[in-house]
Amino acid sequence: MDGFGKILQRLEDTLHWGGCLALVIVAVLINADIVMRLVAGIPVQIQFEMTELYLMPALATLSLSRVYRDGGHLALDFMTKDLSGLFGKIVGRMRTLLAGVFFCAVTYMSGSFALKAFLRGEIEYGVINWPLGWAYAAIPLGCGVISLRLLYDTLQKPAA
Amino acid sequence: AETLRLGDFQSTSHVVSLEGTTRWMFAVEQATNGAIKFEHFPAQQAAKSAAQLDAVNNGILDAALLGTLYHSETLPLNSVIGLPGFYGTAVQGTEALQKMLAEGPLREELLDAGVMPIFGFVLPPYQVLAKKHLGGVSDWKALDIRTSGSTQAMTARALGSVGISIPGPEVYTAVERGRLDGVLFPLASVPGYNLQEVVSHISTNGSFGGYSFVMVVGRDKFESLPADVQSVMLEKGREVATHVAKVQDDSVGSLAAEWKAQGIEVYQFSDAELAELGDAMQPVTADWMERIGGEKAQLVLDSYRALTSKK
Amino acid sequence: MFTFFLILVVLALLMVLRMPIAFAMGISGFLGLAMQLGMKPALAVLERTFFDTSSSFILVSIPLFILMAELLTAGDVTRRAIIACQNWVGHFKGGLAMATVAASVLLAALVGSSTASTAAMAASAFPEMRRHKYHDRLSAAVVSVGGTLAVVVPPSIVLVVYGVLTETSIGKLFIAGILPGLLTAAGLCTVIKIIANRTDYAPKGDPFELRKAARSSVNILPIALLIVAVIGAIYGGLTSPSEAAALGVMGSLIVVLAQRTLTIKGLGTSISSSIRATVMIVAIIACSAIFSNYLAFTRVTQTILEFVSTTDMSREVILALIVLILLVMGMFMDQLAILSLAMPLAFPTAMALGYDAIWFGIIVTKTVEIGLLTPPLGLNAYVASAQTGVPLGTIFRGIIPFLIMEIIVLIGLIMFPDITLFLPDLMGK
Ligand code: NA
Ligand code: NA
Repeated sequence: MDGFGKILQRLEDTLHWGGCLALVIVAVLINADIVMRLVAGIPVQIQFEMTELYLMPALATLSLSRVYRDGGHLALDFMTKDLSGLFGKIVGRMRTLLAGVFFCAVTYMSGSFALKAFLRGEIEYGVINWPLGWAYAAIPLGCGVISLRLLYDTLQKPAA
Repeated sequence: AETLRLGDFQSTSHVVSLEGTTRWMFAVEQATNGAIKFEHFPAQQAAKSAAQLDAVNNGILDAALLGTLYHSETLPLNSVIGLPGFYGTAVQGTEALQKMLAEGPLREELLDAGVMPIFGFVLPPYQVLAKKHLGGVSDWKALDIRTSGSTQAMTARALGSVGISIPGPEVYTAVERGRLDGVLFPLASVPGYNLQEVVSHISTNGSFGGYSFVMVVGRDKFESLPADVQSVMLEKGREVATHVAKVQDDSVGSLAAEWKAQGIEVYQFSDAELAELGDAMQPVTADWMERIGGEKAQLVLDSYRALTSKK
Repeated sequence: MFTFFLILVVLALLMVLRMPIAFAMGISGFLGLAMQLGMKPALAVLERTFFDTSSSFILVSIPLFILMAELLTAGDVTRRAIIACQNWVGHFKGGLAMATVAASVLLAALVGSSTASTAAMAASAFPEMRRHKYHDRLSAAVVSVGGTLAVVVPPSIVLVVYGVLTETSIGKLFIAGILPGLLTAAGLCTVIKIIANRTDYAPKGDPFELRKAARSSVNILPIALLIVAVIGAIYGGLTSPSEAAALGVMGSLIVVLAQRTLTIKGLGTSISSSIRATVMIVAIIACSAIFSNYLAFTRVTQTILEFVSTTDMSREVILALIVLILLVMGMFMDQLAILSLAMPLAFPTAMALGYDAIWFGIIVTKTVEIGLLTPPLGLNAYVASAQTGVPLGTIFRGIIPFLIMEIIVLIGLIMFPDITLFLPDLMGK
């Protein structure tokens, strides 16, 4: 594997652990809220907004590429037997290229959306002031890496 | 004939849609003899609640019914309507809002956001629904009250309760099972969630915050329309705003009667209780002022107070 | 109309050429939007679809319930519990599959989301069926179909959304869902019985021994306690239904720590797999939102429903057409998107024809739930496949007999409204 491939893999793994961490925080926060309410009568008020704004988008999108690499995104496999030969190769490359272009578009659009929120200092008022830029940022991050993965696969791997 | 795509986050069975949005579209189509037609996308079909304004600016939609509180980042001044303790009826609140949309900072803010305000109206003020009678401030201590949005959460805290965020679809179960002691809710939306099934006490004259809707058309789109169409839209808008406000106030009356017949305690706060609650909720307005800041916010607040203090 | 069919062809083509389903729906939906509205608005849809779809507190139960099941499985709790069930009912052909159905009903009383329930059962019950030499085709299908019980048996997100969209009593809808849910479960067991008798998909286990069965029963205790705790937390008013999922995770962790059966590595793998399943599910939900968005702008649904509601066909034919339209929509769309697109027209039509709102709600819910099992977008089958590694084609084939059963149950519910309305009527008006 070449250098870029290695970096890409490292990036995917890092984001994946980021997603896992988000899930752990969700579980801990909600339980802390329940326990604190029960024991001390004091809720953990940031729980809801933190989960909805930051943790859910992060745990749902950061691992997009890692899941793709592991073959975790489902495809229909019962209509065509393995495509082989030149035709199969071309189809395989077109598939990753098309998906790559699609995710580039998602990355660009959601990225500029997040950037705008950063530049304008957009805030959601709540128990505390939540900077929205960071909430939006998970999407272009996850989609950006999967675009790289798809384009890399288009150029590199001999298609299936 | 021109067809406008109109986005809406309410479902078509809600009174706001029946007597507001749908009625206005129909009136405009009639008055322009079909020169203007609408394609209606209710229930967030075209864009999520918080994305309606962006959708108009991006050309996904031509017009939209905005729930201004969903856009408090872009429309901070318009969030003044969310504050507790101001208008007492939908008619009063709508009159105030319409005046402020006709000229002044609320209008300018919408224009700056790229949209032309056509008409605006409010929901009747939020009331409290609970499993026990909530009167003066002492009754509210340490209760779990479902609120939506930061202003309401702060209102609950100002009253000594805890503001709890729970997604709309789960409120019913949460109240039924006692996770929540009470809910701040606009009465017109109670049947939609069937909350009357799970509470035993409903207030009718409280003012725990407001909610405003503004019908907007993209500025460029609006300016491209013939002058007579523009004035028809505005004129029908004024009529519909008054109409939907009145219908809502009336429906609150009939809903209250219906609930009473079902054995629910439908009650009014005494003047003393209202004054006590009003005092306790003062910090919410002070916080809003501090957060938004600036002369404009003061101006908006002053004119809103003046417009809603008249009986 | 031509563009619409073109887009459907593109979608089908992409799927046949094995483009991941999420991507295929996103791409064809985007192309459709670009042709319908223009390039700029179509791109604008991409700005926030992923965020708006994923930033939802209600979705939190999906990763959490999956994590709960993963932890229990990694900690050997489910295997022991299922062995106990095996000892009781394993000497019947298909006994273990029926035990899975019973567990699905219990889980359905906790979970309002079909995908969360399927994922949890796929992570826990499926491996045990495989260990006992059940054919993958049957086990994966049972897990997928069992998951749909979650939206009929209360609490149910779909019923709540129907209630809100149509201003129908959510309490009554919940009560009304109970008998149809149990009927579906009975139907499932019947199909299992038939398959078990005719094939070797569901072999008999060891002969029944009372002492062995009784002794292993103690292993059911942890799961039973957990279920009681989680249901208790919801019904006792301690947590909202979504939050209860987090409580389930903590409970499972306590159980496996107490049993000292979970390794650090097992913990890491559990978290990692629940993220993997969640990412796959949310990607499909987000991309199918792009596709539904396109469908909304074509107004195809409205056009068809408007046509149906204005013809002078008999009320039975109109109802059948509505159900058919919902079934077809279920092939391509998420349940909640179907409700938001179709109910504004279908509901008033049904009411004008004099049908009961509660009954119609159950029929609609049951119908869109069937959509979770049909290709190309059959979310439950996807989840089961992702979790178990059984190829999608195998699962969809395995589902066919159950699908026939579902349709029969649906027809039964349509012909005999009393099955649905008996319990809510007991509640009084
Ligand atoms: Na359920
Ligand atoms: Na389907």
